[in-house]
Amino acid sequence: MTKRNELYEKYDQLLPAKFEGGYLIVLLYNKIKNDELSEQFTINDIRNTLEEIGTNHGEPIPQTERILKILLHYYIRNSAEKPGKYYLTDRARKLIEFLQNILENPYKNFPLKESFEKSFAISSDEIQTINDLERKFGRLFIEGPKKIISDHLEGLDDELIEGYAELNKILESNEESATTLVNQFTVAFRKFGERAEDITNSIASKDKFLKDLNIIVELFYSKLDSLKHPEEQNEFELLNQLKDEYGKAKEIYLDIENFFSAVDDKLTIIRHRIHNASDKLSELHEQFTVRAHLRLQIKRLLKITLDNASYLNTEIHFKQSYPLKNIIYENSIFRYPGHYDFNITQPNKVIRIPNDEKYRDEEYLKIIQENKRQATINEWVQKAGKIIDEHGSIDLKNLMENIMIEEKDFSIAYQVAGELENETSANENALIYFEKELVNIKDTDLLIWKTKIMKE
Amino acid sequence: MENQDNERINYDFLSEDDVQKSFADLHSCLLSGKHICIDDYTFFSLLEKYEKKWKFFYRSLYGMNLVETIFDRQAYFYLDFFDFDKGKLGDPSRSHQLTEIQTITGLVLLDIYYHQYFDEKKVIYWADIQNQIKDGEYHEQYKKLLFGVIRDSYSEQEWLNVEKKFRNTINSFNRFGWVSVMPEQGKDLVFEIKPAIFRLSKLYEVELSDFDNFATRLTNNN
Repeated sequence: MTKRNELYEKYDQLLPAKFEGGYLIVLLYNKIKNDELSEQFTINDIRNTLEEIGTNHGEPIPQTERILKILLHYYIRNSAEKPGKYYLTDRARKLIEFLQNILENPYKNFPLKESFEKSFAISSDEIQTINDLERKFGRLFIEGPKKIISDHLEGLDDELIEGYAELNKILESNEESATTLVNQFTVAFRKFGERAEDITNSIASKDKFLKDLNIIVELFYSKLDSLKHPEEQNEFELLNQLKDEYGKAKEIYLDIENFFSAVDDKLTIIRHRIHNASDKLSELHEQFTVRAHLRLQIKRLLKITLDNASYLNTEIHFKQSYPLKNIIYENSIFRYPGHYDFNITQPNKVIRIPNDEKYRDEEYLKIIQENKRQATINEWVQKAGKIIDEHGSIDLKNLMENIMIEEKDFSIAYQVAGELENETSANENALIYFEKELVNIKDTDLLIWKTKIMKE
Repeated sequence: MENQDNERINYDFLSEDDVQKSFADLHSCLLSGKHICIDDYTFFSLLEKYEKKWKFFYRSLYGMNLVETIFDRQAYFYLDFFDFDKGKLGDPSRSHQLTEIQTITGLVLLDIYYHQYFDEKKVIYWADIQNQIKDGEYHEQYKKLLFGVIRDSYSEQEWLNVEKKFRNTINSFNRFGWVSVMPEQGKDLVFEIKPAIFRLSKLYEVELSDFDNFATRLTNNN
């Protein structure tokens, strides 16, 4: 498991939720500090403390053993010497102190400039050798002072955020007297002013320090520079030593310079905050009463508006006498045609095919002939019908041969015979009489059964 | 005096390069009710540069008042009706009546603006609004007006409906230039309240100037 994952996995034991042991550690710590509880306490003490927390916060009292199990990982231990007794681990104490420090940053009330001067100052002749320099400002030794400055800046930042909240709160209060408000603001703002001054002083002392440090680095360089060209072994050794010393001094300088550049960035943000608050305040000073008055009026307007509103069919409605306001709203839509040109005639891309008159006449003729054929067929069917009516029957062979003679078209004879047979089949009063004798239709290859169609 | 001024002012500025470049967009922004502050830098600087001429242009051709006003140290421009005349945009189709939810939301945002008066940017998350509805000073009224019923908790769907209404309102305010909706961070709605939100209090200037009278009138009429 990577360390990162371990943090997620064990988070509940590392930072127990408030009613899961978090408040318990705080209260045990406080009780021990106030001598209400001895350093070594019993499970009953834990139970009582849990009950106290539950009652004070209106929460159900958790099972003591369960909470103890969570805390036994990191924050509470069984006493080895006194069985049945428990004690808070150093870690638990440090955690509480760490949290208290966030709230009451010890540097809050100290000027930043003092911290700067204490940690970053070079007195005359203090540094003679590279060892002196490393002991004072080497990466390892300077960590402490750096932390002091970082903590200090964090404290300053917190303080300003609190200051902002305070200013917002004053503006929000229902105090209408301008004098009282101005006084409150001035008190809150004094902090900003003092801080701005402190920061300016700190930056000045920081600049001075970097300058002094640079002089020392230059000293190491000038030692190196003044060395004559080496010839002997010991001269070479001295050259290398001086080179090494200058390199180390330069490294120390760069490290501190980097640190200060980060400090500068933070200070810029802080100064920006102060500047912003100061601007707002000067605006407020000018129209103090107006602004505070308007703030109250808007609150009242919101209240009265809500009082005059009701819920109907998923919508909000105002009572009729509540005035609704208009703002200008002319929605102009610009349409940009992609391309237009009204003057040039576009060539028609449809190809006109000329009439094929020969084809038309042929097709027309086909239609006429087909029509005519149908009419002829129809005529012969009618004629055959009449013959049947008049003579009682008709011989199909004769009929077809007659048609062949007159029309000279076998397909007509064939179709007339077909239609006639169809009609006869559908007609109850007619019947088709076949003889088992094949007869040949003259001038054709067709053989048909000797067939008579007759009336019944 | 004003007439003499007007005689000297003409529409020549419209043929300046910088005006020509942005006229169509700026003009339609103003007509669509947008309040233009320094964040819309190109438009804002054009309005500032030819301020008198623009005023003349809108007064004489539209009968509209181009207003420049400052709130919380920030200036913004917008078009308004003259008190005596609604000008060429007097037709109801050319103005927008703020809806009930827009009015209430606007007043709530104004109130929040003051809560954060000293903060440089008033950035609001949907969760902030949700907290106002759940536990804010007027939570009972908010619940009644948004959900129709006062309960300790509401279903996810109920919240979604309310969020949708709110989001629509905020988007309309974004078009007015009263807020600036920030690029979506995940699915959440994030926006900054701009000083131009104070236009809403200007709309209620008459009522606010004699608030007690206004309150009495409302009570009597109901």
